[in-house]
Amino acid sequence: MRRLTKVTSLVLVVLLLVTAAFSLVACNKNKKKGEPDHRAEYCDSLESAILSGLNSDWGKDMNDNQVAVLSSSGNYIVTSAWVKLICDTVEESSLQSAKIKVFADFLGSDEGKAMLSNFSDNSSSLLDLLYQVDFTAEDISSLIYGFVYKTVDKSEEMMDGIINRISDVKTNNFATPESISNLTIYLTNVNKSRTQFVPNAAEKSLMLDALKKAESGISDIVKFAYGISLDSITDNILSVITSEDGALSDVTDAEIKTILSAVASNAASLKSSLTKEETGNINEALNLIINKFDTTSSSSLVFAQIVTYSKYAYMIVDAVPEICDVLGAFARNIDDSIIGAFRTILTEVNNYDEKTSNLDLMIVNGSVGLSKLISKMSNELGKDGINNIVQSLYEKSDSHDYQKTTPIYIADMIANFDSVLKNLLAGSEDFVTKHPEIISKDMFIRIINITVSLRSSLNKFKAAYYEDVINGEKTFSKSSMLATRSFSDIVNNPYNVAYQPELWYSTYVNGVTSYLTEYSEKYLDDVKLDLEKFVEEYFESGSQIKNSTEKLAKMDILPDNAPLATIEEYKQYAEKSGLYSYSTMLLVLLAM
Amino acid sequence: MIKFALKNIKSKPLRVAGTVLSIAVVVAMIFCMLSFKNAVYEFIYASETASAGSSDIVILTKSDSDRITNVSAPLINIDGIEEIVPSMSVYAVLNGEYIQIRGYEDGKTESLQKINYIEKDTGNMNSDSVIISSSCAEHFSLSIGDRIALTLGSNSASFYVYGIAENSGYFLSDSPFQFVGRNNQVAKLASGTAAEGICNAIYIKVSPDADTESVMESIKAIEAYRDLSVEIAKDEKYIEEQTNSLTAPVVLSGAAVMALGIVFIAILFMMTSKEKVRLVAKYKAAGATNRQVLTMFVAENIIIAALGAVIGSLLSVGLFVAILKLTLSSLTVFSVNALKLFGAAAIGFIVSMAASLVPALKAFKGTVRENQISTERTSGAGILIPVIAVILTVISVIIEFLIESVTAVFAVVTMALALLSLGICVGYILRLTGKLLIKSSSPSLKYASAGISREKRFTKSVTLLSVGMTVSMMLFMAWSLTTQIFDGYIDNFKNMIFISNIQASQDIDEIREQDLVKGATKMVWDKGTLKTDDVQKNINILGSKDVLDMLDFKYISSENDVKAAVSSAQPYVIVDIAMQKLYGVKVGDSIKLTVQGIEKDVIIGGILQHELFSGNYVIISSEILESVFGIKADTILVVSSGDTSQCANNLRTAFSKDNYFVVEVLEAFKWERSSMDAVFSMIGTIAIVVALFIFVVTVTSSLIGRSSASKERSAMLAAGMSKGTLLKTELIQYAVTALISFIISFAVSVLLTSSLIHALRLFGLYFEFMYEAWVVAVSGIVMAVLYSLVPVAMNFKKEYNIRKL
Repeated sequence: MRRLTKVTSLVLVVLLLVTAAFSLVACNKNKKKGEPDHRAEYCDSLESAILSGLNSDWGKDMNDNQVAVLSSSGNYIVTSAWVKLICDTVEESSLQSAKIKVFADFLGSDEGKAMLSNFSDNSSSLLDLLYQVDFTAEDISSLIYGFVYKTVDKSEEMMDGIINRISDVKTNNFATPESISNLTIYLTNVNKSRTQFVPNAAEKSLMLDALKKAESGISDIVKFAYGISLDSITDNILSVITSEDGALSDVTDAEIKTILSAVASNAASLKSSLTKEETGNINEALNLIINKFDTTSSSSLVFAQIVTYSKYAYMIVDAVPEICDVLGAFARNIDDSIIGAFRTILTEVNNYDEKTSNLDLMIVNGSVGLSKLISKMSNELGKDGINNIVQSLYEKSDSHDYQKTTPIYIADMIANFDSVLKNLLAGSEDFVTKHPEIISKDMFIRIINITVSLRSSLNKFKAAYYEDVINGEKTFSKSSMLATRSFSDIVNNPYNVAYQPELWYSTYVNGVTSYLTEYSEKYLDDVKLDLEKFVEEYFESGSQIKNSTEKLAKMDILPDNAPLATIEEYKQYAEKSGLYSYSTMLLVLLAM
Repeated sequence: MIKFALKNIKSKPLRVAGTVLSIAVVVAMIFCMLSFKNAVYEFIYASETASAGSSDIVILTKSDSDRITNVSAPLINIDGIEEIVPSMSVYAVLNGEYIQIRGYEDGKTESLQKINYIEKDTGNMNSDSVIISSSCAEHFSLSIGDRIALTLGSNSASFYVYGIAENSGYFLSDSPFQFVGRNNQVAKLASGTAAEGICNAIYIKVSPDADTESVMESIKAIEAYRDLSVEIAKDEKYIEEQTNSLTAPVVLSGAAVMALGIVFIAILFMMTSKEKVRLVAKYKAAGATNRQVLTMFVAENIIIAALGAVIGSLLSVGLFVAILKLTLSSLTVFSVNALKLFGAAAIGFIVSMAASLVPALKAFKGTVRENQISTERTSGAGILIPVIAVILTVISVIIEFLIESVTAVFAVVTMALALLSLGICVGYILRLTGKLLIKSSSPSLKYASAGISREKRFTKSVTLLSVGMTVSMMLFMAWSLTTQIFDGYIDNFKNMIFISNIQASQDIDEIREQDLVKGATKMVWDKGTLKTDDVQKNINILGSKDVLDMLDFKYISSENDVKAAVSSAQPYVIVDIAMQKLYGVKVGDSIKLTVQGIEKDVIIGGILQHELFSGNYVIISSEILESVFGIKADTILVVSSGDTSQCANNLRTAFSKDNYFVVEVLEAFKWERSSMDAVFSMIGTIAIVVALFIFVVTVTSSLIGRSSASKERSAMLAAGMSKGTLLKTELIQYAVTALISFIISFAVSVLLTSSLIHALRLFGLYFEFMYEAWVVAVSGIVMAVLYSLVPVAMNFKKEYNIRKL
C-alpha cells in the first residue's frame, strides 16, 4: 500500500511538472492592453479650439448665464451647435484619435487661429485648412461624407435645439440688451432656416438613402480630387525635380516618368471604379443635396463650402471617364524627351528672374514640350478617338441642367484660347474665335459668362444675401451691390430689397438660373460643332497646325544662349501650331 | 503466462515505471535528433522569406538603375503570372534608430504574408496607417493610434499605429524593426509625392502550372525592367546551405546521441539480466517450457516497450515543439514529421524488445542449476575486444590525420570507433581501478572497491555514464563550435561601417574626407555562386581589392602574388583555404562565378585564410566586377579611426540629403544574425535537455541495477554494518565511477572534437582545430558530481529497506 502510494505520488509529481512546463509554453501569449482611449477628450479639445479660435470670448459648454452676457450670443449658440455636429462627426468617424489631437493642437496654435480666421471670412477654403494637418484623402472623404450625412439626419434636431436655447437665453436674467438683439436676429434666421433647410421626413429618407448608395462613389471622387489636385501634382513634381536632397535627389528623367505615370494612372483607375450605376448614384445624391441646400442658408460656412464642392463635383462627375482617358493617354506617352523638356521648363520657371530671364525663350521651350506631348497623344487617340470624347461630353451634357454643360464648354474655351489670347495681346478688343461662323464673339463672351463668371457671381450673391440676413442688414447692401453689378442686364427685378427681400432674392436667383439654363441649351450644339471642327482641322491632310506641331515636336529644347534667330524660328512654328498661347498659360499656371 | 507477465509488472512498479520512462526519454532524444535539422530549415526559411512571403520572383532596383519603378502594362500581360504585388520599401529613422518601412497597395498588405493581429484599430487601414510587431511596440513604447514621425533624409511623414501584430510573417525578420503600411505614403516619405503605383520592389506570384524561369526571362525582356534585378524570391538552395552550416556539428553529434540511445535501452534491460535468468530458472524448475517462458517475457516486455514508445512519442512532440517555440519562434508553424516520429518510436520499441529477450535466450542456453547459481562463463576473447577496438581507433586516427582526401570520412569512423572503444574499455579501467583500491586500508574503500571490481552493474553504469558524458560533452562542444563559427569573425569588423543604398557614381573621396574616417572603399557586397567541376557553392562576394588591407587575412599564397592578381585586368578571384581543403581548388584554376544572375569564368589568383563567413567568400576587384560582369559598386565600407558610433553619426549627418543607409557593421551583422541567435539558443537548449536526458537515463539504469542488489545491502545491514558506513560505501562506488568516467571522457573529448571538426568538411565547412576546455569540463563535472550524489538522494532518510532474507 505504501509502495503504491509512493508510485502514485511520483507519477502525479511528474505529470504536474510536465503539465506546468507545457502550460508555460502554450499559454505564453503576451496580450498587450491598449492605453485607455482619449478620443472623447480629443474631440472636446477640438471643439474648444474651434470655438475659441473663432471668437476669443467663446468656449465649449458655456451655460446660459455665460452666453447671455455675450454680445454675439445668438451667433455663439448657432455656431456652437454646428461645431458640436462637426465634432460628433469626427468622433464617430474612422479618423485616428491621434489625428484628432493633432488637429485640435493645430487649431489652438497661432497659425491655426489665423487659418480659422481666414476660413471664417471666406478667404480660404475648408480643404486648405484640412491640408495643414496632413489629413489623407481617405480622412477628408470620410469626414465630408459623414458630415453631410449627419447634417441631413440630425438637422431637425439641431435646429430645434438652437431655437429652444436661443429662447431660453433670451429670457435669462443676465441677458444684456446687446445680447437680446443678437439673439432676436438669429432666432428669426434660424426659424427661417428651420422651414427651408431642414428636410421633411420624405426628403430626409430619400437623401439618406441616396447618400448610402453613393457612399463609395463620393469617397472615390473626393479622394481623387484631394489627392490628385493640380496644386499637389505641380508642387510635388516641382519639388522632386528641383530638390537637391531626399531619397530622390538628382532625380532622373526615367524616375520622373515613373512618378508622372503613377499620378496619371491613379486618375485612370478612377474610371474603372466609376461605373454607370455608380455615377448615377452620385448624381442623384449630389442633385438632392444641391437642390435642397443650395437655395437656403445653412448658417454654417463648413456646410456651405461642402455644398459648393458638391456643385463642382456634380458638374464634372459625368466627364470623369473622358478626363481619365486623356490622362491615361498622357501617362502612356510620356517619354524621356518630354520629361527632359518639362524638366527644363520647370527649372526655368523656378529660377525666373524678371531682369535676366528670357520670357520668349521660356514660352518657346514650353511650346516644344507641349508639342512633343500633344503630337504623341493625338497620334495615339486619333481623330476618331478625340471625336468620341467630344461626342461623349456632348451626350452627357444635360441641356436642362446648366451645370452639366460645364465640361464641354470648358473644352471649347480652352480650344479657342489661342485665338482669343492672340487678339487680346495684339491690343484688339474685337477678338475673333477660331471659327467665328460657328462661335461668334458674342457667343463666346456669353459662354465664358455662363460657364464661369455668372455662376460665380450667383454663388457669391447667395452667400452675401445670407450674410446680410444673419447680420440683420436692412438694406442688404452687399448682396444688392453684387446683384446690380452682375445681374441687372439679365434679370428685371421688380421687388424692393428693403421691403420684400425674399421675393427680391428669389427673383434674382430664379432669373439667373433661367438665363444660365437657356443659354447652356442654346449653344450646346454649336459648341459641339466647334470642337469637331478643331479636330477636323488638326487631322486634315496638309494641316498646318499638325505639321507645325510635329515639326516642333522633333526639335530640342533651346539653351539659355540660343541665338535670337533660332528662337524666332521656333516661335513661328509655335504660333502656327497654336501652342504659343497654351505655353504661356502653362507657364503662368506653373508659376502660380 | 500473460497473468504471470502482468504479475511481474505489478510486483516491481517503480522499476517498470523507470524503464518505461527511460525508453520514452530515449525515443524523445532520437526524435529530437532526427527532426532538428528540418526544424532549423523551416525556421531559417520563414525568416529568410519574411519579406518575399508567398511570392516566387522579385524585381528590385539596383545601385545603378532607377531608384523607383512601377508595374508596367507588359508585365501585367505576361502569361503565368498569378499576382503582382508592388512594394515601396525604405529605411527611415524613428527616434534616432533605423527602421524599415514597407508599403503595399490598398488591399494587398496581406498578399504575401498573413498578419496575425494582437490588436487593431477600428475601421480600415488608411494610407498613413502602419502595422508593427509587438516587440517593436514594446521597444518604442507605442500603442494603437499613436502618431509616429519618420524621417528620411530631409523628408518626413507622419504615420499612425493601426495594428500591433505577432512576430510572425513579415515580422519574423524584425531586425531592424519592420513597419508595414501603404505604399503611397511610403512613396511620399521617399519622394514627396503620395501617388499609388510607385515602388522599388515588385513581388510576383507565378501560377502553379507555369515555369518560373521562363516567366523571369519574359520579365527581363521588358524594357522597363532591363536595368533592374530580376531574381528568384526565395533562394532555397542558399537556405539549405545555411541550414547545413548551422546544423552540421549537431547533426554529427546527433548520430552519436541516437547510437547512445539504442545502447542505453540495451544496457537498461541487461541491468536486470542476472535476476531474469534466475527467474527463468525458477519457472523452468516449476515445469514451464521454453515457449511458455518466452511468451511470458514477450508479453511483459511488449507492454513495457509499447508504453515507452507511446509515451515517448507524446513526450517527443510536446518537448520538441516546446523547445522550438521557446528558442526559435513561438509563432512559426513547425511541422512534425510523422514518419520520423514513428521511426523514433519503432527504434525504441524494437531495441527494447530485442534487449529484453536477451536474458531469456541466455537462460535457455544454461541448465536450471547453472541459471539459479548464476555461473558466469568468462569469455576467452574478453580482453581481445577492447584491444582490437583501440587499435582500430588508432588506425582510423592515423588515416584521418595523414590522408587529407579521406579526412572527413575517416573522421566519422574515428568518432564511432572512439566512442565504441570508450564504451568497451572504460569498464575494464573501472575494474582495474577497483582492484587497485582494494589494497587500501580503509574498510569502506575496500568494500566499495570490491563491489566495483566484482559487480557487473558498475561496469554497465560506468559505460553508460562515460559514453553519455562524452556525448553530452560533444553536444556542448557542437554548441560552442556553432556559435564560434558564426560569431568568431565578427569582432574583426568592430571599427567598420557600411554605407548602402548608394549611387554608383558617389565620389569616394567625399567619404574619406569626413571626420573619424580612416579609410573607405566602394565595393560590391553581395552573394553569389561559385562553380567548379565538382561543386556549386553559395558564397559571399567582397567586391573590392581594398578589403585586403582592411581585414587581417593570413596569406597562404604570397601577399605580393595575391595583390598583383586582384589588381590585374584579368578576372582573378581570391578564395579562402577552406575552398582548397574542401574542394581541392588551387591557384590558376578556372572556375565559374555567378553574381546577380551573371555567370563568368574567373581564375583563382591566390589563397587566403580568415574565419570570415566560415571561409565562404571570394575577393574580387570592383573594377573587374564592373568591366566583366557589368555590376557597379553598391556599398561603401568605411574604417573608422576612433569612435565608430560617432563616425557613423557624422556620415549620416553629412549625407542625410542622399538618403544613404549608414550602419555600423556590427549592427548590420546583428540584424543578419537575429535568426541565427535563435538557432544557437535552440542548439544550447537541446544540448542541455539531451544531457539531462542522458543523465536521467544513466541514473535510472544505475538505480535499476542498484535495486537488484537490495538483498545484498539488507544482508550487510543485518550483519552489523552501520547505515552510515553503507552510505559511505555506496558514495565511494558512485564517486569512483563518476571520476573514471569524467577523466576518460575528458581525454576522449579532445579526439572527438578534432574529428568532429574534420567531419564538418562533409558539410562544406572547413575550420582549424578549436577546443573550449571549460565547456567540456563544466558539463562533465556537473554530471559527475550529480551522479556521485545519487546514493545520498536515494537514502536521504537513511532508511534502508530490511527485507526478510
